[in-house]
Amino acid sequence: MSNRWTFWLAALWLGVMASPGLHAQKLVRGPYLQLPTQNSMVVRWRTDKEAKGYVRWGLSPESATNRVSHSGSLTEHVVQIRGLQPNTRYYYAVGTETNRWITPVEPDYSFITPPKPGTSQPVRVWAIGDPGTASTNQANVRNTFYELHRQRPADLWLMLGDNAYSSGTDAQYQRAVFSVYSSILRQSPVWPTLGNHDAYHADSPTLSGPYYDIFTLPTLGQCGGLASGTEAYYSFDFANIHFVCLDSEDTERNRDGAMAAWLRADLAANTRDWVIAFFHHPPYTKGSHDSDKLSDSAGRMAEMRENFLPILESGGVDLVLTGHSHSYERSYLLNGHYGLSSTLQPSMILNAGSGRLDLDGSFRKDGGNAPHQGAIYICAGSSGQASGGRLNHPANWLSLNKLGSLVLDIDGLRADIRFMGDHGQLRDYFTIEKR
Amino acid sequence: MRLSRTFWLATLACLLARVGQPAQAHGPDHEVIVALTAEIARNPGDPERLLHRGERYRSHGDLASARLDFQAALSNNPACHPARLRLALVARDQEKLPESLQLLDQTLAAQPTNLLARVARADVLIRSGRPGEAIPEYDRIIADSPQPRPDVFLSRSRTLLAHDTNAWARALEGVEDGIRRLGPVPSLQLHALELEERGGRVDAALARIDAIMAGMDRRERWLARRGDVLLAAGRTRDARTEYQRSLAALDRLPERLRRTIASEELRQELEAKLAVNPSGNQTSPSR
Ligand SMILES: [Fe+2]
Repeated sequence: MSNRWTFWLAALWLGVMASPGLHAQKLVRGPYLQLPTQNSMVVRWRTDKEAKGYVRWGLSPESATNRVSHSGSLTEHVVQIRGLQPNTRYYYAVGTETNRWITPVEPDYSFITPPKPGTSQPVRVWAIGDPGTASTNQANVRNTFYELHRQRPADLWLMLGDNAYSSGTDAQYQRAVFSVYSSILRQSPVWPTLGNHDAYHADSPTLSGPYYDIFTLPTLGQCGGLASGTEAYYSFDFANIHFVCLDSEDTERNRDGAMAAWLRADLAANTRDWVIAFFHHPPYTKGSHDSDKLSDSAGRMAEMRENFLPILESGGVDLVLTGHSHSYERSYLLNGHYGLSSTLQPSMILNAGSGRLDLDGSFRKDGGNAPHQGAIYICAGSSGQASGGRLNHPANWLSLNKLGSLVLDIDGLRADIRFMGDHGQLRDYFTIEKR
Repeated sequence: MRLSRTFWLATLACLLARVGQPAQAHGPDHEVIVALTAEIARNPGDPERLLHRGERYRSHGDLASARLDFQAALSNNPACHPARLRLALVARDQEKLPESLQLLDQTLAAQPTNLLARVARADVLIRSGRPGEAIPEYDRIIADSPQPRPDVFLSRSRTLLAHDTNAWARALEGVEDGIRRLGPVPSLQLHALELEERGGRVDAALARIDAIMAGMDRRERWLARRGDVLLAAGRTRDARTEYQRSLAALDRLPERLRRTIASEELRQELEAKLAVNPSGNQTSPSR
């Protein structure tokens, strides 16, 4: 009897040890996509135990047999796939050892590489501001976009800061980012900017902390644009759009600082049709923050407005996306408004209309990124919560205390922008057309 | 009746008090501060929580409240270096520079590789009108950082020049080091160009412009800049050639870029420069 028990216990133990699923590394985070170029993609993921990480990839689930790995044994896996073709869908799986894959090879695990820079083709961008509350609100806003994403996936998405409340710790990123957005993270590259809540545990001067550990961002202009030399601010191209990410939280915001000098040069070198800038602190808000109060956010909103808006407008910026106030505030087509709200002059409003094709027509701009042709400023910090405020900044055409996120559809010289609510509502929309 | 009136007066007073307040922590920050305040009431003097709450206050510009929290954390645990560093930052932002410097010195004595403290110390020294002492701080920051920011290289160079106007060669060496470490960052390349011009090194300045231009689709402005450098050096004939190359680059742009206001302005500027600088009056030989 006792011998029979010993036999069965030994058999069970051998079975457990031989089973690949039970003692293999478990996927804790990701996979997620970073640093997309027309010929390469960075795939990142985390496992519970250290191992050498592998990605296998190919043009179809069946042919996903190319293999690439990082060196060493790690829990934080960062693998760059090279030798890709532009504007092409690739299927991939991540794993930790030969033949041991911890994600399936199926259409859900695939990405499309960016097109050749400058190409004019339909592009969809999703932008969320202050999302990281890990709440039902956040999930509802996400679900609204996921419906649209199913019909036409986002080519890329932007996080406008305060990505993980309340202090941007690794555990908070796990709860408010990786658990919430897992399905889009593995399909579309995400481009973040640093918010004040992320900065409680991250430092731009030393490029340290969870925010900088989690994201792999370009410092050498690898994805288009000019080298910034730091992950705190950067630019990249996608199709005929030039994106600029600034660090409004933890990098010097003075006019003669390195970020300003880089931005001037970066925009002067741009030849794409559209310029979209994003950073955390809004220049025009009367929401849960007030851009007129110099003590609010230690003056960051005023500094961005006074020092960076002139550079952006000289560089022909079309759209400026921010968060921080937990509301939706969309400006008129503005130019040259760098002071307090009381200094807004009618001449600074280049178009006081709605920008809606079915109302009073789209916003019209000259092509070629001509300077000072007007920009729309959007504060979209209500992707996780709506916190009210007076919502009466005179530079804004519309101010809403409503949850939601931004969907940008850009095709050639036309951009359609929608603010979608938390239950599928279309809360705002407008169009910019260039000649 | 009496109770009701008192209630309404109190409510009104609260509302009025709120209207007059500066920007306060909002949303999650406000909630965190309320929660921390309750925890601090239960565990008075808990340095961890005081530090945490002080950071929230500091981030919202409430320096006075932040100072009180950091001071309390420090008096409960004099070895709490994060509290000392944050108190130093508050003192700096309140323009109490000697106090800030003293706190930073204490922090760095205990933690010589604390980069944030060193960055702050350099900053406070500059604000205190002591640029000469800030330079070695920048050297140390650059040596100790795995990836120093472009700003540190710029600040070191500008501080050097503010301290000694003839130090351009040394300043340039430092910026060169930045370009080597961080790549072709335009903020550093442009500063290096400025330094070459300042040192009167015309050919080196032209080479800098060529390096900047190399990665760019649009060259018209850089060619014009080459012209300006040559003109300033008295090489009028060479300058004219560059202005003409710039005009040709403008002509080659796609129409949507060529007909913008900025392009038109550049064209007018170039034509004006060509008109007032006729060929043939070069003051020094062409390369
Ligand atoms: Fe914020």
